[in-house]
Parts: sequence; structure tokens; C-alpha cells
Amino acid sequence: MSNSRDQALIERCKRGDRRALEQLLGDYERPVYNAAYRIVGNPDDAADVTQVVFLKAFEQLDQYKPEFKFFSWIYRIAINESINQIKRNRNHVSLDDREISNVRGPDDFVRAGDISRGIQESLMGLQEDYRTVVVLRHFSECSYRQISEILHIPEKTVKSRLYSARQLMKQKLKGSGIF
Amino acid sequence: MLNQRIIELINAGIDGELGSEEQKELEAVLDSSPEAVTFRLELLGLDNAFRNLPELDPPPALASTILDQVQLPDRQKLFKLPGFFAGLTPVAGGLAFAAGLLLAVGFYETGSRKLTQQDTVNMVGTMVASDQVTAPGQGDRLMLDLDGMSGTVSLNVSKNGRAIEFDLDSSQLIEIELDLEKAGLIVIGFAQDDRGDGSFIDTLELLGGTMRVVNQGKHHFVVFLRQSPDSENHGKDIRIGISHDGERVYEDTLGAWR
Repeated sequence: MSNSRDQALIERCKRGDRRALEQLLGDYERPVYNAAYRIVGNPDDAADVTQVVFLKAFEQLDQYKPEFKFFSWIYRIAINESINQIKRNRNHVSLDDREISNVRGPDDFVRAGDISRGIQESLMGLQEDYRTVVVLRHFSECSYRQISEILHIPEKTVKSRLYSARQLMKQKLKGSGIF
Repeated sequence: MLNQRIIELINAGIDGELGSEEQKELEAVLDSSPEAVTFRLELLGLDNAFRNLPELDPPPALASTILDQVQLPDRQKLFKLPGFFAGLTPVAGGLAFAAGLLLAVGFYETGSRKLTQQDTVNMVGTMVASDQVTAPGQGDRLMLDLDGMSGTVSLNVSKNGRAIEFDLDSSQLIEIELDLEKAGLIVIGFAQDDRGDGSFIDTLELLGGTMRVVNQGKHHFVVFLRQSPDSENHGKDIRIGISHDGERVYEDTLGAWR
């Protein structure tokens, strides 16, 4: 996904070219969906977030500034929408539900043999600002600089959040016997 | 207990964010500190665990759900072929360019103003005098031999105008963009060789000083241009770009011989 290709497709979208829209969606649907899934933690919410992200992005194409990379712009929308989705969910989850989800024992992951789920759950245990840097670094494979651009935070903050998040995840996964 | 500097070096090393000096510094630390080696191995294990997680497929209907809801602006075409031709009376002779070749001909005069989207939408057609078009020659000729497409694009230059002649054979849908504004040019006419099969190029648009042609198949057509009196870009080369499936596959310039 080169930036020049993105720019060409965006220009065509602005002119009403639906094929260009399909191509942009084809390029970014999967990465946005996966990033959203790793942040919100379930596939249905990730699909909702992905839908909102693209509808917002395409509606606001005129506001997109070509001096910035399109992927940074769309990831930023994706991160914000994912966090909004978590907040919406939080309002609907009762205290009892949260307590139940938190009492999952360390051995449960191993018994289930589900390392993938264990990692996802330890990710969900991180606070959101830590989780987003982990997702952008490890799942979206962004550099420190790109994460800094997407989240509008200094690179120093990116590093500090990422290193702390890794320590927390390491401890959690060690405690659960996965690591 | 590892100090902050070592923790940072190890993390940045995992992320591929170290410069060469820092890399050497990290290697020296790892050579001398078993604790640093253990810490690094743990982080590498975490990194591997992330890498081994499967990438998820979005729900199959998601893309179409999104596409169904997106409202794009209406396409602003200069004209859509062959509808454009249906409303025109063929020019009866007098057009010197490539005599006998161009049977389906439509010309229009845009006036001296710089073209804008609005101008092209409301454009009214008029005939162009034959002395405003041009005789062949005096410009670059690009020989195209691309994947799924071949042909020529030639610039013909005269005192009063320019013409770009396209002779294309493309098995796939290709898009050609010409930056006319930066060359100080405006479009005054278009003509296409009638090969007798009723097929025409798909689209010709003019937006923001850029002309865009969409073509698939074998077509021969000419776009007539003239210098915009308002432009300071007279004599500059015309940038041409060809794209397929959103990917730019060819770029070059067309210039007059000097």
C-alpha cells in the first residue's frame, strides 16, 4: 500500500469513482478489521467499528490532507472508534459481568490450549492507551514514528507505553502459564 | 537489575529501531549480562507469540455493506461516450488533422478561461476552425509496450495548437492522465477514428486541469488543445501517467521538439 497509490485512489474517490473506493476498501479493510478486533476484543464489535471507520473516512475524504499518509489517517479513525466502542460496551456491562470475566484463572488458558485467546485476553487486560500501542506495533507493524503520527503523541511516549505494556503482558502470560 | 538504558536498547532492538551505534552498544551489553540476555529472550518470545497469532478474515459481507452505504459525489464527466456523439452533427470536412481518419468528430470551444470542474460541466460545444488544429509532427511520440497494453501517444504541435494522438490497444481497463494545466493547455476538441464497430473510449473527463481518459480495447483518437492565454506555463511539457487497477504503471512527458 504505497502512499502515491493511496493518493491517486483518493483523488478518484473524490471525483466519484466507485472502483477507486472499492480498491481503497480492499487495501485497508482487513488491516483495519484486525486492528479493531485486537483492541475491542470481539469480532462483531470489530466489524461494527470497521464499518464506521470506512463510512467516516469516505464521508470526510475532503478533510483528508495529502501531506499525511492515508494509512495513518484511517488507523487514527480506527483507534478512536475502537476506543469509543469499548466505552459503549462498558456502559452496557454490569459490574457482575466484569467480575466474572476477571476471575478467569491462569490455568484456564492452558487447559483450553488456546494461546491465541490467552494473548488476546492479556491484551484486553491492558489499559487502552497501552493496548493501542501494542496493537499498532505488533499487529499493524507500525514503527515508533508511525505510531506517534497516528496517536498524535511523542515517540518518547510511544516507547514508554510500549515497554510498560510488554512488561505487564509478560507478567500476565507468565502467571497464566502460557509464557 | 537492568537499568533503564538497557531495557530501552533491548526493546528498541526487538522493534528494529536501533541505529548502528546503538546496535553495537546492545551487543556489548548482551555479551556481558546474562540478565539482559534472559530479558531479551522473554521479549522475543512475546514478539513471536504476537507474530504467530492468526490474522482474522473480516466477515464476507462487510465490504459490500460498507460500499452500499457510501455516498460518493456524482462523477463529473466532460462527456460520456458514445452519448456525446449522439448529440453532435459530424463536422463536414475542413479539419486538416489526419484527414480521412477521423469520422466521428466533436469539437467545442472552451473560451480563454482556465478550465474548472464547473466549466467543463456546463461546456457548450462550438466548432473549431481548421487553422486552430494542427498538422502532424513536431512533438514527442511515446511507444508503449506495457503489460496488457501497447500503442503510441504522439504530440503534434503547430503555431496555433497542439493535438495528442492516441493509438491504443489494451486488453484491460487503463486510465491515462494528462496534466494540461501545468503545460498551460486547454482542450478544444476531440475526435475518434470510427472503426465501424461502434465502440468508443469509455470516458474522457477534465477535472482541475487534468484530463483523464479511460480506455479498454483498440482505439484511435485525438485530443485537440490550445494554449491558455491566462497561463504562464506556455511551452512546458505535458506530464502523462498511465494507471491500471489504481497502480501507476507508466509515467513520462510529452514535449515539443525544440
